Formats: sequence, structure tokens, C-alpha cells
Amino acid sequence: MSFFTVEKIFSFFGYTLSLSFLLLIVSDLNSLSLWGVFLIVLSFIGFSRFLWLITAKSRASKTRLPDQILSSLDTEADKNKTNIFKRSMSLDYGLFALLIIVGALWGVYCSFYPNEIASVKTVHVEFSEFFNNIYNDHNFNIAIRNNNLLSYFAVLFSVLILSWLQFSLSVSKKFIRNNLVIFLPAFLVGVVILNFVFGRVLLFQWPDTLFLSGAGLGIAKPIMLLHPDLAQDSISFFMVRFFELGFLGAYGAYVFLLIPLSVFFHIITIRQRRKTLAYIGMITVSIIIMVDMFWLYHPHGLGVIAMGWFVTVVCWGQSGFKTPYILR
Amino acid sequence: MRLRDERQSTLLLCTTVLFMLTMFVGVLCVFTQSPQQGASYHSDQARFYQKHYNQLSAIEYEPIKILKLAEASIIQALAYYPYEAKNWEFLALIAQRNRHYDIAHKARRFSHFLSTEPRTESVITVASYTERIKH
Repeated sequence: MSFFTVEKIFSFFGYTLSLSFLLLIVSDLNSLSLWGVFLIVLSFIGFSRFLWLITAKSRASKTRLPDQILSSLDTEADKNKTNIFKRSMSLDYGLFALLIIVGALWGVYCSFYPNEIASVKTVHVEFSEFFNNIYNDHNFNIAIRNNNLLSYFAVLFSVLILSWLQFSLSVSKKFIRNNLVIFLPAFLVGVVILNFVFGRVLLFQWPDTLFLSGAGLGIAKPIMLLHPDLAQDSISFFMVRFFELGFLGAYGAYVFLLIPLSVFFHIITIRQRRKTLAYIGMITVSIIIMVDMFWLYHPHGLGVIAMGWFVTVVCWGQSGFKTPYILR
Repeated sequence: MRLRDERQSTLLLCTTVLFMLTMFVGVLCVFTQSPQQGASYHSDQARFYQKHYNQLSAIEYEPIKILKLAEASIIQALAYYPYEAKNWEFLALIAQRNRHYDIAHKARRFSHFLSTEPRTESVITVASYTERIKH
């Protein structure tokens, strides 16, 4: 099979996997068996893509001299493969992967040693009484739930591998265009719909540094179910992260966005080329931050944020290729 | 496959480990969700809602919504693992409070059918009839 055919097959897999990721997030975050099947498929496809890219680097041992000479010449397909491989193994993606692993470990720490959130009085006065009730009740133990931890891992790992897939596929202009055509309008419309259907927060407060670690994964759900009035008022995605992962988790998520933002900034100010996609990515990231802080929490909102993330990753990935585009 | 230098083989090893780890998490996700565990998770949630329903005041906290949540989660628990008589009994209680009398009646029959305790059928039939007459 030729290089372009294989690339087409992989981009098809990329689309289907990203769409199924969205469906899984929106339908049920705790559907563990579905997440497991998804992760197994994702790991197989990701690993096969990695091997496909690395075959340009490796050569089988040749005994005949003409074969050796021929194999030392780089073909066009080999050049393309090396280009994609170098980009997808670059420093910015490495930093992102490292941050993902740190985030996973932080989530585990928060669930094993839950913070006494009874003292979170600064967030909202009404919370304190409720938390006191919860923590005096010894039968209620939210920390270290198998379901919560595993689904959290599954989401993080799939974000990691999906981002890598999109990264390596964003060499083709067609893939970028299709992604923008599908996900960008859906993202913008989703943000508007979320605004009108679920609304924005009435009260936004900056959490204190006093509560560095959170109260463990999965605590936000009972809080929101037992306080529907508060959930309709002032619990944004940012606040949910603050309850579960503390100050560091809530603000630390923006470090993930800092990497593509710095790349976009570099392109716009220093490199001065292919600026349109960098502008699109920058605006998307700023909308994601806005939604994260000021929109009310809902699982559908998570799906919308994921769409924005796909657009960002595609705009981010194409920026580092040495040659402009392979497929036109 | 022979690689050119040491660095590439290290990279290959690292990435292989990453993908294997991903698959391992996937396999964990699939196989840790046994029906009993899933059922106990949802029934715990239902009990939690039901417990707090009694403590909350009517105006502030929308208690009917919480009861409906309790019913939904206990039904989810039964979908995972329908062989617990206790859960059926609990569903009967909650459904009766939500005024879903048909569900309550069926749930009580199932709980009676599945329970291992010595049976007193007259009590069950009488109870179900009295509920119907009451409401």
C-alpha cells in the first residue's frame, strides 16, 4: 500500500475515535466497560501508527550490495514518515504527556488523602453546613472508589493518545480542513447552546491557596445532586475541578493549555507564517477557558470542551512541521 | 526490525510501554466492573440519597428530585445484578414514596420471590392491598 492510502486509513480511524470519545464523555463518564474497550482499540491503533512511522528509520539487514545502496537512499514516503515522526515526538508534546501523567498522579493523591473540605467556607457560606453533615456521617465514604479512579485514568489516557494521533495526522491539509469544518462550528454552536440552555454562573469566586489538595474524585456529583439550587447558581467546570482536585488541580489544568498557547504566540510574533490557524487556535483556547470558568457544569459541556480541544490540537500540531503540507 | 542507534530503541521501548499501559488500563476497566460491584455502587448511591432525603427541608432542597434519583439509581443497580432481594425491597419502598405503585407492587413480589428468609406470603399480599386502598 502507498503512503497516502495508509494515511487515509489512519485519518479515518482518527475521526471515528474522536467521535466515539465525544459520545462516551457525553453519555456516561463512569461507563467503565465501554471505556475499557475504547482504550484497547485506541492503544492498538496508536501503536500500529507508531510502528508505521518508525519503519522509515529502520532497515532490514541486506546481504547484497545493490540492496544496501538502495536502502540507504531515502524515498519520498520515508521522508514524509520521518517528518511526521519527528513532529509527533517533539518537545511540546513530550511536556504535554508528562503533565498528563502528573495530573493522573495528582488525582490519585487527592482521592487517597482527601482534604477536609468542611473548611471550604470561603467558596460559599452555604457549603459549610452541608460538608459538616457529610463528614460527620461516617458511612459516607467517597474517597478511593474504583469506578472514579479508573474512569479518570481512562479519560486522561485517551486524551493523551488521541492528541498524539491528531498531532501526527495534522501534517495533511485535508485532515486539518475536515477537522475545522466538523468540529469548529459544532464547538461554537455548542457554546452558544450551553449558554442559553444551562446558563452561566451568577457568582464566581477565586478559590484560596489554603486548599491545595481536593476532596477526592467523584465528590462533585453528590454535591451537585444534593444542592440543585447551588448547581444552578455557581458551580462551573472550574469549581468542580476545585472540589475534586483542589487549588493545584483547578489552576493546573490551564498549564495544559499554556503549551499550545505559547506555540501560537511564537508563530504569530516570531515566525510570521501560517498565522490563520494559529489565530483560530488561540481564539479557541480562550473560548475554552471562558467556558471552563463561567459556564455552568454539565456533561454536555465536557463534550463541547473536547471539541474545542480537537480544534486546538490540530492547529497546534501543524505548526511545527518543517515542510508545509504533504497532502493537498 | 533493526534500529539505527541507541536513542531510537529507547524511544521505541518508552512508547511501547505507554501503549501497553493504555491497554492495561483498558483491560482493567473491562474486567473490574463485576455485576455485584456495579450493583453495590449504585445501591449505595441510592441509599445515600434516601438518607439525605429525610434530613433535608422541603423548600430548600427539592426532595422529590432526590427521591427520583434514588429510584433511578436503584433501578440501575438491579439492571447490573438483579438477584438481590434487599435491593428489590428498597426499590419497592422508594417507588411507593414516589407514588409509582405498579413498580412498587412488582418489586415487592420480586423481593419475596428472591428472599431466602422464611416466607410469610399473607403479610405481603395484605401489605400490597392496603397500599392500594390507602392511595
